[in-house]
Amino acid sequence: MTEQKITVAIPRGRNMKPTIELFKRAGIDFTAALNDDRRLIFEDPKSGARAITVRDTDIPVYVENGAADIGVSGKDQLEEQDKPIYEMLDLGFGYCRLVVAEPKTLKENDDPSRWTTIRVATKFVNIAQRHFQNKGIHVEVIKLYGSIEIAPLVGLAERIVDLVSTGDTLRANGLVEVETIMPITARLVVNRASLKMKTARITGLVDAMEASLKSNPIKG
Amino acid sequence: MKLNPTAIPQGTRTFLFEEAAQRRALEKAVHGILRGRGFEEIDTPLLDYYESAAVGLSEDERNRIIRFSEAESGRPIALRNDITMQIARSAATHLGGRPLPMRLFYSGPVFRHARKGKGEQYVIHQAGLEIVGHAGPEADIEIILSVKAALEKAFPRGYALSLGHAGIINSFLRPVPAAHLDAIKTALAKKDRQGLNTELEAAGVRGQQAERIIALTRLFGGKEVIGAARAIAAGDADALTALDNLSAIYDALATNGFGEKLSIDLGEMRGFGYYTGVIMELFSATGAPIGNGGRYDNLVKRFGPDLPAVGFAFDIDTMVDTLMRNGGNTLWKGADYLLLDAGNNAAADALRTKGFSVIVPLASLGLKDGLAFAQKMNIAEILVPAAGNGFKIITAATGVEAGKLDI
Repeated sequence: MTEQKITVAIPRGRNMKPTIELFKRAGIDFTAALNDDRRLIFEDPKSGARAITVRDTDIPVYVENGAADIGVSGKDQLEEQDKPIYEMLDLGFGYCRLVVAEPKTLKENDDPSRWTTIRVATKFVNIAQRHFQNKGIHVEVIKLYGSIEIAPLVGLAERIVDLVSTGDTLRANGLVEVETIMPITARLVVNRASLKMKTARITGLVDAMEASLKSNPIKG
Repeated sequence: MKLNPTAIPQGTRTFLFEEAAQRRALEKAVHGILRGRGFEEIDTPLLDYYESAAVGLSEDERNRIIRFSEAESGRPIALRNDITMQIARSAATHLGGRPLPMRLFYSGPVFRHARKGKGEQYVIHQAGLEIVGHAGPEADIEIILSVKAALEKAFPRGYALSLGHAGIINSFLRPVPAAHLDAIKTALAKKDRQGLNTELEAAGVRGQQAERIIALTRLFGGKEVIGAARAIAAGDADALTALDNLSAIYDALATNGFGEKLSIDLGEMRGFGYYTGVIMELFSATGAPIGNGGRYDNLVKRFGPDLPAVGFAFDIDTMVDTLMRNGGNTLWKGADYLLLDAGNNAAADALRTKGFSVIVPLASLGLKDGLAFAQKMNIAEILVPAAGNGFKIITAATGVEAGKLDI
C-alpha cells in the first residue's frame, strides 16, 4: 500500500494543547506548533503527517472540503455548521456548555415556559434559531462575533446564547443561566472521502486515540 | 436593496468555453460508453407533479423541491429533483412488453433549493444509467462496471467507490420506533458512536439490538468488513442475505481490477430513501462526491409492474469542476483558422468540409488587427490570400509565415 500521508487540522486556542497531546499519543508529533505562534503549517516527516493550525470555527470547513483529512472541532461548531463530515470520537476535553443566560434581575421574575417572543444575542445563530423554533418561540437572533455578555447590559438583547465553562464571565457581568441547550466537548472529525481512501491510516489513529483516552483521558 | 442588473441568484452558474467544452466532452464520452454496452437513452420531462416527486422522500428532501402551481387546477408542480423515479415510471408506463432487463440511460438537470453558505447549486447536471427487470447481483455488477468504464474513458483524475447495503441497515434499524428514526440515522451518518448511544437509549433500543446499530459506525474498509458484519448479524436472516448479496458483488468487482479504489462502508445510507439493496457512493481522488446510486426493488411497482431495478447517476458538474481544478483540460481551443478574406465563404466552406473550424471576418480586417484578434481568441493560424487560389499560412503567435495552402 502506498504511503498514506495525512493532513491534520489543529484548532488554535483552548483545544490546541490537548489536541497536540492527543496526536502525540497516536504517534504524530506536532509539539513544535505549541512554541511557534507565527507558522501555520507544521510537518512531522517521521509519521508522514502535516498539521495546519486554524481557528476552531474553521475546522469543519477544512475537513469538509478535504483540505484536511482529520481534525478536532468543538461540538458547538459542528452543530452550528451542520457539515457532512464524520464525528468519530468524543474526545472528552474542551468541556463546556451552551446555555441561555439573562441578567440576574430579569431572572427573578422570569418563567422560561412563558416565553413567546424573545431577542437573543449570540455567535450561534443556527443553534439558537433551531432551539427556540422547536419550542414554539419566535426568536429575533442578533449575530455578534464576540463579547456576547455585553448585549443585555446595553439593551441590545434581553438574553444571550453562549458557551459557558466556569461561569465566571457570566457572573462578572451580572448574568445567570436559565437553560442549558447542550453540553459541548471536542470531537475527532474526519473527511468522508479520506476515510474511504486512507482507511488503514485513519482507522489506526482513531483506534489508538480511543484506546488511549479510555485508559487515560486528556483533561482540558 | 435594489437588485444590481448583473446579479444572478446564488446557486446558479454559467459555463464558459473551456468548462462548456469539458462538460460536453465528458457527457459524450459517458454516453458513448453506455451506448457501447447496450444502454438506450430516455429523455424525461423537467416537470413533475409534486405529489409524485415527493413520494418516499425525507422531510428535508421534500422541502428542497422547487415548486409552483399548475394554473388551472392549482395542483403543485415540481421541477424534477430525481430522474431515477421518472425512469422507473417510464419503465412501468411506456415500456411494458419490452424484453427484460431494460438497459436505460439519461442525461440532464435536476433541481433543488440551494442552501445558502453551502456552495450548493439549484441545478445539478446528471448522467445516469439504470437496469430494470433483473434482481440478481449481475445487474448491480454490470451497473458498476459500466460506471468504471465511463470513468476510465472520461475521468482521468482517479476515484474511489464505496459500497454499502440498505438491506443490512434497514434490518438493524427495524427495532427503532419511527419517532426516533431520524435522530438515529443522523448520528449514524456521522459515525458518531456517543451520539448514537444517547439516541438509542432515548429510543429504548438496548442490548444486542443497540450494539448492532452502533457497530455499523466502524464497519468500513475492505472485504474483511463482510466477515466482521456476518458475526455481528448472526441470527438476522435479512441482514445475512444482504451480506451474501454484497459479498457476491464485491468479489465480482475485485476480480475486475478495482484494487484499492473499491471499499465497503456498511454505515453509509445517504441518497434517496427508496434503496433496498447495494448502495454506491463515488468520490474523486480529491474527495468530492461525484456520483451515487443503488438498488431500488420497490420503486417501479409504485407505478405498475413489480420490477426490480438498480442504477447510478454521475454528478457531471462536480466532475467538470474536479477536472478543471486539477490540471485543467486540453479539450478547448479556438478556431483552427482565421481567414483574412471577408466574404470568401467558398474557401472557408472548402476547409470546413474537411473538418476545420474557420472564422471569416464579417468586415474587412487588416493583418495587424487579425493577428491581435487571433492571439486573443486562441486561434493558431491565419490565412491571407496569395496569388492564384492559394493562401499564406501565418502563425498567429509569432506573425511569421509558416507555409502555403491551396484550397
